Amino acid sequence: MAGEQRDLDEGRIAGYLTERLGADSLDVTSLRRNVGGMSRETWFAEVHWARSGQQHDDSLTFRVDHPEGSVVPVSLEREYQTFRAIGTSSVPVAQTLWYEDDPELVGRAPFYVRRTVPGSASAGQLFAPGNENRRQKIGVDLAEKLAAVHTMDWRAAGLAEFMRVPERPEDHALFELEHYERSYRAAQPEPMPVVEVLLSWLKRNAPGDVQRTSLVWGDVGVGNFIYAGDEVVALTDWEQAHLGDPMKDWASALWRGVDALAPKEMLFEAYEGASGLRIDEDRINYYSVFIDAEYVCTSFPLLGELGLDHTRDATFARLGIGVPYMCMDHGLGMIGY
Amino acid sequence: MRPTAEELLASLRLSLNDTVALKIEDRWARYVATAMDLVLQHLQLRLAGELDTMDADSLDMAETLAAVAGQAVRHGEEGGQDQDKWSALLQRLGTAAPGDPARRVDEAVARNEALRGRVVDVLRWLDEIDPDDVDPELHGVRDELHRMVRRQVGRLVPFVEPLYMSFRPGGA
Repeated sequence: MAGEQRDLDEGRIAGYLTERLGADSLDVTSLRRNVGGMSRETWFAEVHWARSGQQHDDSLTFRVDHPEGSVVPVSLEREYQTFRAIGTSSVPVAQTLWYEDDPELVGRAPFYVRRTVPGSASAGQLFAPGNENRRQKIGVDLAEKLAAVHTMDWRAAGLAEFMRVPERPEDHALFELEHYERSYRAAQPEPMPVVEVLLSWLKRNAPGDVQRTSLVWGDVGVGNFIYAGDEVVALTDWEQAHLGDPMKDWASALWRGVDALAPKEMLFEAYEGASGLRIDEDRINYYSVFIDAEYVCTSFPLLGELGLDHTRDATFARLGIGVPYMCMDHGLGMIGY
Repeated sequence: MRPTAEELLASLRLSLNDTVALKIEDRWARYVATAMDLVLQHLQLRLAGELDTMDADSLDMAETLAAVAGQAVRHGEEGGQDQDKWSALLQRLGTAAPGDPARRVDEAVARNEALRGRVVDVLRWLDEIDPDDVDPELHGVRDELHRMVRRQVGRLVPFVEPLYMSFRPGGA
C-alpha cells in the first residue's frame, strides 16, 4: 500500500471544512482515531472557526472505509442514509452533515461527516467502581431506547426506500442470512465445514412467525451508544441495521454483555413496558447463533486478504482469527454440538 | 540454528511489551501493539503444535468420511428406491485415505484444506437433497459429520483463544 494515504490529514480536513462551513478561518485543534469498532474507521475532529467575525467551536466525526474497504458488506452510503433517516424519528442519533465521494477532498473517499454527540461511549468509565447505580439506570434507559427503535415508523422515516422489506415471517431472518452468506461466498475463503453447519442450521430453523417487523439496530452493546450523566443520549454503529425481528437486537445485546449493566430481567421489563413487545428467549437464542454466523461471514474472509503481496496490519490478523473462531465455537455450542 | 524460532518469538514479545509498548502514548498505536503481542502468542502456539494438530484433524476427517462411505455402501447394497441417493453421496465422499503424517506444515495444511473441502461438499449436498433434515438416515450422516466438526473446532481453540475478541464490557 506504499504511497497510499492511510491516516486522515489535518491540513486536508481543515481545507475541506473551511469550504463546507464557509469559514473565513479554521483550525483543526485535535484529530484522533477512535479505538474499537473495526468495521470502518472513525475519526474525531475538534475545530475552531470564524466567519464574519463570529467564533465557533465544533466537534465533528468522520466515518471512512479502511483503505482496503469496509469489514462489513454494507456501503458507507447506506450507513449514512440510515443515520439520516433515523434522525427524523425520536430515536437519538448524531446529526448527519455531508456524504462525500470525491477522493480529492481529504485524500480518502467515500466518507461522511456527522456532529459528535457530547458524552462518552467508554466502557471503562461506566464500569469504574462506584458506578453500579449509574450503570443500572443507563441499562434501563438503553432498553427503553431499544423499544423506541423497534416501535418507530420505519416507513415514515423512509427506511423502506433502501432496506429490503420482509414479506413472509421467515424473511425476517433469511433476507439478512442470504446477504451475509453471499458476501462470505464471494470472498472464497478456505473451506470451513463449521460455517456450513451454522448456515444450514439457521436456514432450517428460521422462525415462522414474528411479533412485528421492526428496524433492527444490528449491533447493540456497550461502546455502541453515547451516554451522558445517567442517560443514553445517542445510538451509534448502524452499519448492520436492517428491517427484521426485534428479538435479533436482544440477541446482539446479550451477546455483547449488556446484562453487565443491569440484570437481564430488569432490562426485559423496561423494554416490554416501553414497547408493548414480548421478550421471546427462544427466539433470542436463535438469533444468538445468527450473530455468530454474521460475525464469521464478515470477519473470516479478512484472512484471505492477508498475504505476502498484500500485508495488512496486525489488528486485522487478530480480527480475522479471533472473532470468527470464537463465534464458530460459541455457535456450535448453541446448536447442541 | 540457534536461537530457535520459539526463543526468538519470546524475545520479540519481551521487547514489544517491556520496551516499546510502555513508550506508546497514542491510544490507537497501543491497541495495535496489543494486537501484535497477541498474534505473536498465537504464532508461538502454532509453531509448537500446528503440524501435529493438522495431521490429527486430517486423520479424523478421513476416518469420518470413510465411516460415512461405509454406511452409504451398506445402504446401497440393500437396494430399494434410495439407491440413487446413496450412490450420489458416495460420489461426493470420494476416497479419503488418511495417508502418512505430513513432514511439513504446508503439506499438512494443504491436505487438511482438501479434506475440509470434501466435507463442505458433502454438507452442502445434504442441504440440497434434504433441506429440512427429515430423512432419518441422512440425519444420521449429518449428525456424524457435525460431531466431527465439533472435534475439529475444539482442536483449533487452543491456538486461536489468545486472539479472541470479547465484545463484552471489559473484554480485551
